[in-house]
Amino acid sequence: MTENVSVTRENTFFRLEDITKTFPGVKALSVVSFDLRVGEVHALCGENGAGKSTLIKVMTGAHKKDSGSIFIDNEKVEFANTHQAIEMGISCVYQELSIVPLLDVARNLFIGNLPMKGKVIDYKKLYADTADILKKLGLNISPHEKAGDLSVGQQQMIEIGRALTRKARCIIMDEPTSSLSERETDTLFEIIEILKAQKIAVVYISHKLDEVMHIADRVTVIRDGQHIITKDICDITEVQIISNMIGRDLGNMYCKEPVNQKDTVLEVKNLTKDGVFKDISFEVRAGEILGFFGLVGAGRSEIMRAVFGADKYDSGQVIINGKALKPGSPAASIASGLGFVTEDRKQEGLMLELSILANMTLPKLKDLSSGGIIRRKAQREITQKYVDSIRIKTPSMNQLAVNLSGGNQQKIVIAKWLMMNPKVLIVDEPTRGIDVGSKAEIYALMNELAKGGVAIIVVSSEIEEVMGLGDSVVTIFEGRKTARLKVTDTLTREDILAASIGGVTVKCS
Amino acid sequence: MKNNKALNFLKEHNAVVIMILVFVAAVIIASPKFTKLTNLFNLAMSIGTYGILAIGLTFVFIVGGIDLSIGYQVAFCGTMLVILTNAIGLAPALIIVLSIGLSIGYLNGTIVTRLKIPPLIGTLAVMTALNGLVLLLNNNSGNLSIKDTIFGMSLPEFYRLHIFGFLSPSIVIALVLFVGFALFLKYTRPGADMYVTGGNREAGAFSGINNGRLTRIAYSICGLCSAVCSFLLVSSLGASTYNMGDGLDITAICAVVIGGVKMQGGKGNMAMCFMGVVTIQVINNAMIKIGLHSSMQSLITGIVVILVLVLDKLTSKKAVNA
Amino acid sequence: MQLKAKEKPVFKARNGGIQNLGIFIIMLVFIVIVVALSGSKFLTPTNLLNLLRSISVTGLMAVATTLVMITGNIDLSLGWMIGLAACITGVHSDNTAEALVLAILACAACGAFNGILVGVLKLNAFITTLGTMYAFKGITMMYSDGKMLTASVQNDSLKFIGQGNILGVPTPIWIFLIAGLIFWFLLKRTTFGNRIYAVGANPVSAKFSGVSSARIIMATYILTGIVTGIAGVVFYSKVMSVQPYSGAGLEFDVLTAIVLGGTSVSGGKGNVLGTIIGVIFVGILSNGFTLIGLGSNAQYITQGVILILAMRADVMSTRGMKV
Repeated sequence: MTENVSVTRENTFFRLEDITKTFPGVKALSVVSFDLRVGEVHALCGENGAGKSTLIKVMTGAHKKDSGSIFIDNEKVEFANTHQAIEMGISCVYQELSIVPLLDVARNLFIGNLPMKGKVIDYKKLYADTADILKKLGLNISPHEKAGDLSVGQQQMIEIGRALTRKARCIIMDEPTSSLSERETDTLFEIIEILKAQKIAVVYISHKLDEVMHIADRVTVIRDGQHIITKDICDITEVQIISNMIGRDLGNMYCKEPVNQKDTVLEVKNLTKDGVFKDISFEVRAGEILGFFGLVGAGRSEIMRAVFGADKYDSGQVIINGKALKPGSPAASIASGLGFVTEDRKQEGLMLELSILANMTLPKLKDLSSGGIIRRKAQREITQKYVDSIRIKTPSMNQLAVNLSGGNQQKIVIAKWLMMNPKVLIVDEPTRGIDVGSKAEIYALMNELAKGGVAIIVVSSEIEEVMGLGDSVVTIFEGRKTARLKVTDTLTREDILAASIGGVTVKCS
Repeated sequence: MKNNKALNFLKEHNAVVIMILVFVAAVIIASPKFTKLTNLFNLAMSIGTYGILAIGLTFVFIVGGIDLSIGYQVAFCGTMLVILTNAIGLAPALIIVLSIGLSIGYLNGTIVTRLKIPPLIGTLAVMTALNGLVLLLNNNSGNLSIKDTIFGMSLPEFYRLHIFGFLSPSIVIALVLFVGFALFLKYTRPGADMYVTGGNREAGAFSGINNGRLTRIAYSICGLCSAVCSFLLVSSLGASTYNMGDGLDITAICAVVIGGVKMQGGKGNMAMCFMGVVTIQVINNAMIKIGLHSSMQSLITGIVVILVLVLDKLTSKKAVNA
Repeated sequence: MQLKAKEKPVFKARNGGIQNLGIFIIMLVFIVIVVALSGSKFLTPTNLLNLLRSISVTGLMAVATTLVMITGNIDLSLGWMIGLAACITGVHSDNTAEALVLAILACAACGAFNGILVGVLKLNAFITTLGTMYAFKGITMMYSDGKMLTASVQNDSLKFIGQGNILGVPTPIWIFLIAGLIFWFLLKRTTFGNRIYAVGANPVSAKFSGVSSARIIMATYILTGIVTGIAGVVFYSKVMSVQPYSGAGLEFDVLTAIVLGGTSVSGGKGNVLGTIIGVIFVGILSNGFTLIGLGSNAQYITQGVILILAMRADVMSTRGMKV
């Protein structure tokens, strides 16, 4: 946490008072107040569906409040649209980045705000000002680079830079580190310090409480559309934040139990894909949970996609239960007992416009049909069974997937694979963007699966998750396996991090 | 994921042009008729005439849309031009027809932005409606001759006028439009913002860019270009025909895409448009000079479209690893 | 068994159907106007029979193409595919079996070609089928020498296909309805059908669930080809002669029918029942216009306007073009 002596109550410049916002059937915000001081980092925490995004939308002018007031510098304001909010100094960097990939960095920084000389665009000023801002943020990028060629982390910096060009007084960051590596996260924190020094406030929304504890000055918790608590960060603990977020005490989230591991189910031998990963070899046993850790961009997801057959690989072998797996064919992998919960459930895991029923039973259709014709009763019964046992919150299985919350959507994807009784289940970032309550449920699910003899591979960027769930951890760095470490009481974060940063020879245990 | 920049640049712009140059070399060897100066002049004239149409389409592509109705826009404007000219004279008729073109374009833009109908269907519908109108005006077949003069000569003569030996009205008008619009795209606010509208609509909306307005402007420019093109086509024929719009949409799309303008939006400029038009017109001209039968020409057109698409696909950034 | 346009069917909103009551009402309004204007001429048995026969050709193509559109693609080459089939039938008008087999094979090959380009190479369906349309046009014109083809020999079995009646109902209608039934069943009750919806909704997710979008898309185009081949035979045998270009423009009728029937152009939604309603509507409109005395011009214009209105009413469920 940083010291900033001048962040006091008198310096409140942005204030929302008693905001209420109702949607048909749902009261998203109920008399919520929030205030922001000059140069402070104010964290906003809450489960999915608690009302955080609605509050942000009211703050940025994307939604109109039903009642309540907004004050900037103690003057009442109304935002007619997002552009007005930006003009008044309230900027936001969303999870879905608004970068125009085909345009260069300079034009992205100054979208809609290009410097003009009369009626003509002043390109000289454009590139000069861009270079200035890039320097201010300490970024080593050329103003002429195409934004689409940058990494996600860099693109995010561009968005922050854009806020600066608009003379932002406050930058709202929505889950900013969800796609960032550890190194990029550190860079982000450095930039937040720079922003603070320039008297720019940051509203920091994140599920990652360790980051919140590190960077924030104050934290506000929202639950079920209501304001619960606002405290200085020194006056509250992580556990307290969590219990305020979910309204109950969670205890140990991972609840890992020792499982009797049996034979090797999956064997990956020297898997190589030129330019992406090289010589990846590992084994997983029935009942074992193997963590797969590495920095973002290390190649973990690419390895799993190749193992599953979504992508082709150049050399190597994947063996399931002693039989070599045909490469490049998801259908063959599924038939051999592989399941894959992908990183991005919206783009890769679900068909949002279709029903829960359709989504869940897609891989299983062959088993549920005779001669190509679906046995609808069987289809409905098995879907209901899983909806009940995994506790998916929905009025009916005909509900469209798009209408469910993130946690429930993820449950659909997991249920889809559970239905197939896989021998090996690969889960890639299983709890990304999911609220704490659902997280715990998903962890319990995985432990149960392992008890039942399924081999599980968990790809994750959260060290705690990998240490809490896994029996062993494989670390990947720049496409190569650097270590396999057994998770014991003596294993520390630093051990894993050191192994994942690479340059280390393979340690086997 | 390292990119070989040189290879990419080649792929993006010149692979197709090289392919065409090879083809052209073959044609030149095979048929001396191609390199005759008169033929080259004809080629330049057609580049001018069809190039103007492609300019309009380029704008629509840049904002991320598509306009299938351009063929019938040309037919309709051409028909109206003849009818009006025969009634009230060329100059006033021309002004009215240009406004008509602009309005049809604006209508397309409104259908897409205000009624929020996907451009594919919307412009398809407008195209059908225009088709009906053109057939109606032409009594289902045949052509109408234009009866007026310009600068003291008949329109066909005007079209084929040699200015400074190698320029013609269509070439001059095309050049003016190419350069003018190129400056517009590079140096004006609306021009630059159009790339945002096509490249990432939401980003534009967040930053206060009026996507709707820019889209309507793009479609209106397209309509205007169709009107200008129709004037040139009518001039060259001395009349309007009920089918003068046939195949123009596919020709323009091919030209623009070959030149490197992306259909998904956010990328393209007048230089690319020009290169693409030159390429397509050279192919067309060559096919005729070699003496290919029209059904064969259809076949080759089809194949070229497919090749263009494959190339466009190969050079586009992969969005999701699917 | 035929659906009369005035019956109000019940649709499940989940898999498409007429998404918005608005479209249905618009259609009803137009039909009422047209029928009223054409007066007694419309309801004569001769007219109704003619109407049914012409609906069948469009309808055959439409029910098959519905599958293509549910995957988020489109087929603009239909007009010349059917032209090719009709010309092949004309050339082989002496031997019904030969004509059928060859027409179907040729169009299936065309469909496979489309399928490879769109499904395997993943090209933009719209522009691609615009291109293949030109290619098929070239082939058809070359095959027929651009000339009209008339039957020179009496062939009753062929004649029966287009002009005959079974149980008082024209043969083409039977063919259309059987095809409709088959495709309805395919979409609703088979794994194939479910996979089509999956590919249309999200081909990437479908792939992760083991469904190959290339195969599904190929299949939809080939099926469309096969059905179009049959439609071509019917087309020819209605009058036992054909001009090679007679089919050009039919793809627009097919597209209109499918869209009016509730299939979303962005894929993932749609059904055969809606398409059939759409086909009937387009047919009645065309028939009515002819009876009133308005030419195809007016019909074109009206169809264009209706399409816009229908799309406007449908806009909520359209998430954006895949084109």
